[in-house]
Amino acid sequence: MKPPLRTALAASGACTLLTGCAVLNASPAPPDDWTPRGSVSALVAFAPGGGSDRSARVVAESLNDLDAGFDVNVENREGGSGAVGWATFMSEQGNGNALLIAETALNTLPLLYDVPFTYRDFTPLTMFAQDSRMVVAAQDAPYDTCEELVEAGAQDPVTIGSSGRTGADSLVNAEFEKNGGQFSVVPYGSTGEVLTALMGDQIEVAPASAASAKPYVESGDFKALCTLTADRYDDPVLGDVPTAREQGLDAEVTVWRGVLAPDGIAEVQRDYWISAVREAMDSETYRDYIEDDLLIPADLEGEEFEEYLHEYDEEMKEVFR
Amino acid sequence: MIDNLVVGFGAALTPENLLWCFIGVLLGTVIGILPGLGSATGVAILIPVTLTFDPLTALIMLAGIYHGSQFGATTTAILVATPGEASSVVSTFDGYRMARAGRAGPALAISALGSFTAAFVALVALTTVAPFFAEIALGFGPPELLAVMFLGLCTIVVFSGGNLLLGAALGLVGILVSTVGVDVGSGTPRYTFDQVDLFGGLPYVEVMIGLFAIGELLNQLHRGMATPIRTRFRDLFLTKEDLRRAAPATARGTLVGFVLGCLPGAGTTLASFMAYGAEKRFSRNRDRIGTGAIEGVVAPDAATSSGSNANFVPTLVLGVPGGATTAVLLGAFLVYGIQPGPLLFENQPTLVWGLLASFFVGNAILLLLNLPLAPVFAQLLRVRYSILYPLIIVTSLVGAYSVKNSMLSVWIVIVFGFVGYAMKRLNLPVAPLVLGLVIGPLFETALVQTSALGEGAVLPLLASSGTALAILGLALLLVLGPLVVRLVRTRTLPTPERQP
Repeated sequence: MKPPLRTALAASGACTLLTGCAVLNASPAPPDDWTPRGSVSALVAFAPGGGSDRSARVVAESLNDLDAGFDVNVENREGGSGAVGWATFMSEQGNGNALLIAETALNTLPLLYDVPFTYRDFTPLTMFAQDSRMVVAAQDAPYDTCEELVEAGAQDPVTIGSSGRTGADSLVNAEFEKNGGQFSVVPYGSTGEVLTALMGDQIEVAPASAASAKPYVESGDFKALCTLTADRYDDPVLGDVPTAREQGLDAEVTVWRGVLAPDGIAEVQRDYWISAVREAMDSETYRDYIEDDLLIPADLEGEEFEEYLHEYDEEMKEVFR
Repeated sequence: MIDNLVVGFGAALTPENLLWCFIGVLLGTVIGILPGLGSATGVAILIPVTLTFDPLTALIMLAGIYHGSQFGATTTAILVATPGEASSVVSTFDGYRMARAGRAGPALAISALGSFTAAFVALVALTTVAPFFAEIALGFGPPELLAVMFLGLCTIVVFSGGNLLLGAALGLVGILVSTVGVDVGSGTPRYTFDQVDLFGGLPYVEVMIGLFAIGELLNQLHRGMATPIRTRFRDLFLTKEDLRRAAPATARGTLVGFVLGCLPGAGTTLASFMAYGAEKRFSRNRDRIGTGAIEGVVAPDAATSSGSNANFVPTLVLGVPGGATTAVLLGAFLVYGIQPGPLLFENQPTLVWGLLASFFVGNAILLLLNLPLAPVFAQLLRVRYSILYPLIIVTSLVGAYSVKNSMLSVWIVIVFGFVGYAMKRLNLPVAPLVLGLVIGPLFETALVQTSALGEGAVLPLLASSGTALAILGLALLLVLGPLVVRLVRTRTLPTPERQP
């Protein structure tokens, strides 16, 4: 039965070639009055549904609400704790129509693993938010503060959950160990899983973002030991929770969320996006996001953001030494 | 309980919600039929569209897409052995064989009917025992999940087609392939050959499309079976005998699906495999499973359906998604400012029960849509193969490309297409390989977590958990049961009772 086979292969070969060609993309030098047109991809290196994905969708929506003649689409390329997405983004070099919504792990991942990129391979545009962590435990846990937790950990290792080796949870752990506590870390896939493990008494304490821990503190399932912020949260439920510094620990965790562009884009393109994001951050969507997720608003742009990333990277090198 | 259902159906049956549920189900079916474009991607793409809606309406539509695409994926699995989702892989085992035998219509119809029944039972179970199940799921820590995954691996026995050693070996190959990527414990890249695209592991969907769709197609081309299947009119509809045989299988599938769906992280793919395994063990027609038996079609579909509903237990009550799509839906919840967790059922009863009731409505719409359409879909097989096969190849490759906009996916499909073809030629069972591939990462995660909890020791933790021991006992029974039975029978009955 040769004819069907030949037709089949010929037809499918032709169609596959067509798809393949669409990937090729050449970009001429942009004019001085450059503006993005058509579809702009906003790449997220994490799965839909997580914190990074949410922040990307907020940025995309706020940018699209500007009605400036382009359409931002969030594209998820998850895998390898972010490695797959960020390595992919390197191939966008010089493309002014591509954005990257990234976070702290962009600093920490290259320190821990052998990946072909660092944050220096991208163009920082705007840091739009900072986040931190708080620590929760079961109501009947033998400690009420993070200080007592660290002391308990110094006697006998405490089981702590972690949503990833490169994220905010690993920083909490590192800060506590710096203060003398010992922990055995159980890896989970997400903060939701970590909190569930705490509910099921599988682990003893859990680091979590304020937004995800709040309902459990509110319902009385968990008690909050401390926050790792510089100041207390301005929130009816979490406002009473003291910071780790108040409790006498030298511990603070800050994670950043920001928009970056590929390496090698023109200055006019960089400036365009910086001002577009600035304008977008004036939206109700963005303000609601900061408020609902208990984030710290931030607005470092261009060189300032770059400078921040340099300093942050030095700090991380200390932590993961 | 009844109050909750009244509130729920009241909210789900408003004309607007009904309309969006319908649109969601319809869109979902189309998304499911396209290989590669699974429900998780479909829901993620459509979240922005629904942002202006009322949260309940938006979630109802997204859940409609979820259910619709599960069904669409099964449709192509049955008709052309092209599973649109990992969970519909099992449907290719018996469903596709039924279709080859000219019984595509009944296979599709029983799949719709089984899914609907399972959805209904799961809904009733959710309304009555959801909080109770959430409690049980909480008790399922890493050691217990490790035991469940071990049980899952033991079902390889059932899928080996007589040659246990061969099945086990292929299962191990599957596990080996699943270790590609950054490992969960220490973060070391394994078998990635410096390809960053492989850091995330070999993606299931692409592997499945290759193994099943392309592999089967190459096999058909090789055999040169170029005459389209002609079906007789009366073969298009379900018979009384079909229904009688499907009923107990549906019940078993629903139960297996519900229990596994409630566990965080287990997902519906495992549920469909386990339900199929259960049929092969416990069905009255177990000898015919794998040759195009209706039980083998309806049980995994019922399990997928009840499992995907039960998946909302960990998602809503614990904020932990049970599978990829519920993870995306969880994201949608957050976008609408709804924080899943212990207080959700108390704070937002209309939303929660409205959503749960909409699952039932969605499945009812699917049934109404697909019972009459099943014979029509079955006509697809009458299309000439010189037209149908290029279509399958192209949609498979484009679909694979579209998952991540990456050519690597296309190569994976092609490579595994040839692997699938070779396995068919050599008469190797594909199921153990897939099972190893699906369970491998789950097993590893549970193992790493258990060893972290036990500070390096795994067995003491397993031994100290009654639940884990019970599950392990079940696994042992699964493996040794048939051996013991055979042994006892040969001792007591000297003449073989089995008919030739």
